[in-house]
Amino acid sequence: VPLSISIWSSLLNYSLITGPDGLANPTNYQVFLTTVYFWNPTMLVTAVFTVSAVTIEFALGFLLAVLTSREMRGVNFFKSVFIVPIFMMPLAVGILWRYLYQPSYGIINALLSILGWTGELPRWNAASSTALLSILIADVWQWTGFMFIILLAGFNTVPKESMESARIDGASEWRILRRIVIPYIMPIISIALFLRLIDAYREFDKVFILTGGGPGNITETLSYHVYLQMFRFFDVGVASAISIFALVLIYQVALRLIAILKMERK
Amino acid sequence: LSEQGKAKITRRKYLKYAGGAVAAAVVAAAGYGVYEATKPPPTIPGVTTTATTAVPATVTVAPPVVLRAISVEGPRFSKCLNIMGGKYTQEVRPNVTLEVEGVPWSAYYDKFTLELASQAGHYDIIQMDYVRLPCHAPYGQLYDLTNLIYDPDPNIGIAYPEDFGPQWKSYEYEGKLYGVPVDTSCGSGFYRKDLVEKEGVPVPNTWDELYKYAKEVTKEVKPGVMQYGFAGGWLRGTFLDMFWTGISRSYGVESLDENMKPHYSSPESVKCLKFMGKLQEVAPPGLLDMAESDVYDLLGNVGNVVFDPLECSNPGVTDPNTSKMWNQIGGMLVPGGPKGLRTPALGGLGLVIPNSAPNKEEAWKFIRWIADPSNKYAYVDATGQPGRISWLSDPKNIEKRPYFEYFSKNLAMAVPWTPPIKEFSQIQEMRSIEQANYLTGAKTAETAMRDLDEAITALLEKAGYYTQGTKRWWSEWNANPPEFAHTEPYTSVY
Repeated sequence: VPLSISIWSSLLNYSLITGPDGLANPTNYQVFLTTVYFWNPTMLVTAVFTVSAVTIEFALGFLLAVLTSREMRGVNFFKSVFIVPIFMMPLAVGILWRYLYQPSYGIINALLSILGWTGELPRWNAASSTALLSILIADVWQWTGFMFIILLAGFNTVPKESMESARIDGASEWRILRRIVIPYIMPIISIALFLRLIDAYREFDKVFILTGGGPGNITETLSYHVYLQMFRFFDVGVASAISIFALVLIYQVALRLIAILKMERK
Repeated sequence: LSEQGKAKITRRKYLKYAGGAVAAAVVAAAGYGVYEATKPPPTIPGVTTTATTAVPATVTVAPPVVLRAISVEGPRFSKCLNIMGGKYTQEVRPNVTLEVEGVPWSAYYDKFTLELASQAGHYDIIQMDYVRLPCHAPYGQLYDLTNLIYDPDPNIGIAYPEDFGPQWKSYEYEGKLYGVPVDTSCGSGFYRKDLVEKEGVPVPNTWDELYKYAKEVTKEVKPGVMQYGFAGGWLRGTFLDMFWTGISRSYGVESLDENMKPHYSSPESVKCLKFMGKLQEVAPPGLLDMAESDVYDLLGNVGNVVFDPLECSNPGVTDPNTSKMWNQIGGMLVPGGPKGLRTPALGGLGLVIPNSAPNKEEAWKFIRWIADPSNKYAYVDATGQPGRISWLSDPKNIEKRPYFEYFSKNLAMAVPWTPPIKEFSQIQEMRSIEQANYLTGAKTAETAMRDLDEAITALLEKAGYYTQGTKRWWSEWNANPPEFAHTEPYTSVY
């Protein structure tokens, strides 16, 4: 029902303040697809952020899972530490990183100074060159633990006997990982990538708190753009149209991803 | 007896008992009526009774009323309303309780917009920015307060409305008043007294002087520790736009002409934007990411900023009850521009009543009370920043909030945020984007402002302004600024 309402709203000339007023002409889809800033930066930023965040989080999560899957002293402590950020409220994460990034008194720039950074210290959220990176770092910090915990669970399902046999046969650790572990946990990898992809694609809270889409509109993601259309410009019709477009797009991307991963398994 | 016969008897019995009950109720009602007609009149608190015989006093207990209000989270807004609400219940109307929902700035506009648009009737009072009036007043979402405000009965109308200065007119839309500007958030100037004294620079009078003195004091004060001459909240949206409004009008920038054509690419506008670019040289890094609270952190506890010439106040640093730095924060007039004008942006969060409010009458009584001159000190004690000029300029209040002295002067010169149309927030975002495009070096000032003109023209064209026309009430207002600050003695009705 909500989806049907959203599709119907996307066809209407619909203001949040005054309510619906007939069919939109030109259509809301035409309106947003021809808006100057829609493709660049909104779609470009969303794509860059989604791909970068998922890739980095997967790589780091995988690495951490490999390292902690062995029985070593203190491993349990690190396991707990890595997953703590997942439990934090998204707004709290945004506020925390906002203070960390503060160019004048934030801890990050203070550490850079201590480490001997020469030249102008980064302006993080306030500079076009680093604003998206700021959001990305905060996201990686929060969600790498998610990848880690899922992949670690996957590692624990790999039969120990298979790996022992491979070791006895003289296979290297890298070969065992590539030939036994990864194929075995491929369904789990697919789920982890799939969930994070959808989540990163919808990124809103860190953009909202850290940059507000700025400076200018350089960090305006698709979700933030929908929010602006709805609550700043009061245009329910256009906001709904973008949401439907976003839904179709992520659905297509997800189908492709699943197909690729299925082929990999074969 | 047949089954039918049994049923008949049952119905008869039923009628007998029901008839008896009705008769008893009629007798009881008649008895109560006789009692009510013959009992002594109730005594009203504060009214002396002339009865000579000892009659037990009876007070008519009014039904309890819960007024629900929505405001911005924090001192000056939700905290102030909460404290004043408690005082109202305790001292004025014991049956009325005020429940205040404080919402952070980030979600505040969304929340009350949804409430008003849906006409849900969840709230009786909304603390609302006047720039949002054109979004709701024309669509019947706000309760028209004109007749109540101007009612000559001192128990109904607002005492000395002219005392609210320019803010009073800001709640007028097409000849009707929709709000009472109990709070003021006009742009004002602040500086660090100790740093100004140490550096031996005067407090600037103009924007050019500000840049000059800010440049003098921008330096490394300790190894690795910088001091900056200027800071301002330049975060995208409301904050950057407030600064732009306050400085651009003093450069003679006319946002829209009488035909609603934008003129951001005018020489004055480009010059003003370029000056803002220059200010970045004497400001801490990250200016485009700073909200009001960040600036106060830098001005206050961090202490590496000397001048903050155009900001809404923040009790976090100016309130003696909560800040250790309050006596180091000096107040100043907002600097003047090349046109010889000081033009701080007029803000302020007044109290409005939604048309869907379930308790409009009680809501009005509370608004009327909180704005009453008898609350001159209580409102400030409750962390409020009053809209009444006479309260701001009262020596006792200035003692507690020294910046009030300059604040009231800035308020008297304040100019409204423009344009007052429902597309305002969209224009605000557009302005922020293009200004940031110049300030981050993505575009030249000329290109950014030309693109802004084009974007706003397209927006207003789509909205029908060039075919349907619109009113420009702020021009008349600027031409005839209202008189303010009453001096007559006042006797409170409370």
